[in-house]
Amino acid sequence: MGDKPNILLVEDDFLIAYDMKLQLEEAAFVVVWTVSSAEDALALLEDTSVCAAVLDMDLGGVSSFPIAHRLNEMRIPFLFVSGNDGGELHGDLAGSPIMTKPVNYPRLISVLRGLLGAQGT
Amino acid sequence: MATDDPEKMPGSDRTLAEREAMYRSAFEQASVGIAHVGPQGEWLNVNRRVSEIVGYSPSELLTITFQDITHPDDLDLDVNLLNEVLDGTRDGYRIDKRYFHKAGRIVWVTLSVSCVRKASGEVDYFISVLQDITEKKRIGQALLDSEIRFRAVQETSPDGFMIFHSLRSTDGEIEDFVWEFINPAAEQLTGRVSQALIGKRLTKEMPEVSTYGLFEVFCNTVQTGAPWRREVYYPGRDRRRWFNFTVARVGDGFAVSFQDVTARKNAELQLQASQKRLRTILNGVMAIIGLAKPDGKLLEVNETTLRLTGVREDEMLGHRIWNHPAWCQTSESQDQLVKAFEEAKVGKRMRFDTEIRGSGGQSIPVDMQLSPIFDEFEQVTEIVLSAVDISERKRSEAHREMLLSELNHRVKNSLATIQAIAAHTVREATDLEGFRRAFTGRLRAIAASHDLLVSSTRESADISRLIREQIMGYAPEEASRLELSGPPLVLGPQGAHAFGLILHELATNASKYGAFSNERGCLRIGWRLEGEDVVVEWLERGGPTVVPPTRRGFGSALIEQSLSHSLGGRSKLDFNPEGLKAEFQFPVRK
Repeated sequence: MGDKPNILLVEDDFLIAYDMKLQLEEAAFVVVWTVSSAEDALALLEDTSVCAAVLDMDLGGVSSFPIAHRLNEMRIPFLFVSGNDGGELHGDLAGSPIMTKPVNYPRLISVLRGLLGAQGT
Repeated sequence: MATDDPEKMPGSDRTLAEREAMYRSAFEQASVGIAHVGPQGEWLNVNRRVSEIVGYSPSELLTITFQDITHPDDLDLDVNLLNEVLDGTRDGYRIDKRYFHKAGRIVWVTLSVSCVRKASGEVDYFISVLQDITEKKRIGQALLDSEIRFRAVQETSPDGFMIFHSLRSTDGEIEDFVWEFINPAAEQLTGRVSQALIGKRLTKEMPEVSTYGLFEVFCNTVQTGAPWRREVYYPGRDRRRWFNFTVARVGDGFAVSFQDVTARKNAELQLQASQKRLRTILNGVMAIIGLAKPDGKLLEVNETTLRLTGVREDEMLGHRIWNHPAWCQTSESQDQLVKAFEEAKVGKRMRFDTEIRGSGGQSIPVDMQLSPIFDEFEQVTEIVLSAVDISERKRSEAHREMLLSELNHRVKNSLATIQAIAAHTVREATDLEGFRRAFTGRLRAIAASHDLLVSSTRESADISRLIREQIMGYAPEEASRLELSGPPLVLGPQGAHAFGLILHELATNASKYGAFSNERGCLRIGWRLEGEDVVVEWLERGGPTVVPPTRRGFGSALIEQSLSHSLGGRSKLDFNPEGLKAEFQFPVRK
């Protein structure tokens, strides 16, 4: 892990993704942000080292849960961003942090730092 | 009457004794009763037939008088006539009278009385000849009684009654029928009087019998003897009415009786229509409706019930409701139903939510009601059962929740987008007024694309309308400075949103630095379809000389990256000195 943690950002809306990337970069993360699709995200995880991930729960009507499952397998912490309150999460996703849109960035950044810190210890 | 001289009688050559024996024999064996009766009515001499008629032996008769065995109602007449003979007013008489038979029954006799007088004129004895007419009287009386009864019945009957005999041609074919009898009710019903019809031909007086097929019916009845009965809508006295006709053969003819059953028939038809209407309503109602006896046996169900449960009517009717799986999906619902019937049959109205089994075996949640029906003694005779399928309600509740959640999701996403735009706009704004202008411009661009999507029937937007909406307000008035060319094309929602914003950014850029920033620059936008993608070319000419930007802001990022990010499309910008050239490609339906 370098000085700045790599963050995988999965968000299908360009405007939000682009803003979030800037917000995270301002908070001293390196954002490896990808497009909307789960396929691209999973492919990226295979050859890119990532410290944590921010996942939009609904990628243009497609769930981002497959990415979340993969991240759990890889023991990479993540948080969900959702337009809803996210509903009940089950199985290995139970207890995953959910941030609602519009995102409270200071909070998102602190949760993200918490995830990275917890992983570090 | 005096006797003739025996000497002058036939066979006068025989001896007196022989003749005496002949008379005695004739007297004894006569088929009529012959008696010699004394002036006081005492029997003097009777033959065998008299004994047979009145049932007394000759010796018994000789001890009594004729008065003793005469019916009291006939006695006066008989005695009076006898007295007239005695006093010489008449020589004899003949009456029908009644005797009491020894066995007690009445015998009718035609009695012919003559007398033998002494030289003085006094009656010596009477000669009575008795002929038994009891049987004749009985038949006559029966006929009379029958005729009287027939008349009485026909006179008072409310039913029309007519008798006809056949009128046949020389070769025996029925040509017509002739009236023999018409009762008052028939006169009333036909509006014709008996005198005008008796002896007349049916088809001449009432030609409508042929029109309505009744003539054939009458012929057939006369030929086959088969009675016929039917209700016919037939012209009556004033108008067409329903008549119940009964036709039966009588001799070589027929009798027809007919009643006006219009009132009943109308009531019946109305009832039928009303029942049909009720049936239609029951079957049209989107609810289960049934009728059961208090013991739970089903009497009726409507079509909705059969359709929902997929059970045939005969499988359902006559069975106890709680024994049919269609009515109780689970043993709990069965217990519930049994208990509810226990309450309903003592007069309680029951209502509860339960589950029935649908035609596919699925469980259908229903709101069920049991309403008892009472007779005049307040006893429950039947129970009306109704159940409304509430799964639709439950589904629509779930659907509404889903819609609300979807709306919430969209609103939150829109707010997130606005948050992002605000953040981007703030980053590059130099002053508040600049921010306000850029921010509202971008918000309007999003709103315009959104309007276009909502106003079209499906979630799609026409590309030329999208372009006009987005560059309106930035493009100059002169039509020659803007050229749009391409086939009619409809974009999907994501494409419309993303490309709408790109158009907005390009237009504001053109109005600040490009073709719309001077008096003569012009813009040409062309598009075409390439497979599943739309390719759009943006070409500016005649503006100030283009200098490639030194710093790439949000606008450039949006123009260059948003299509590839969200839609897997691509963007290409060429900052040619003579004018900006941009090319975009993205899926047309996304």
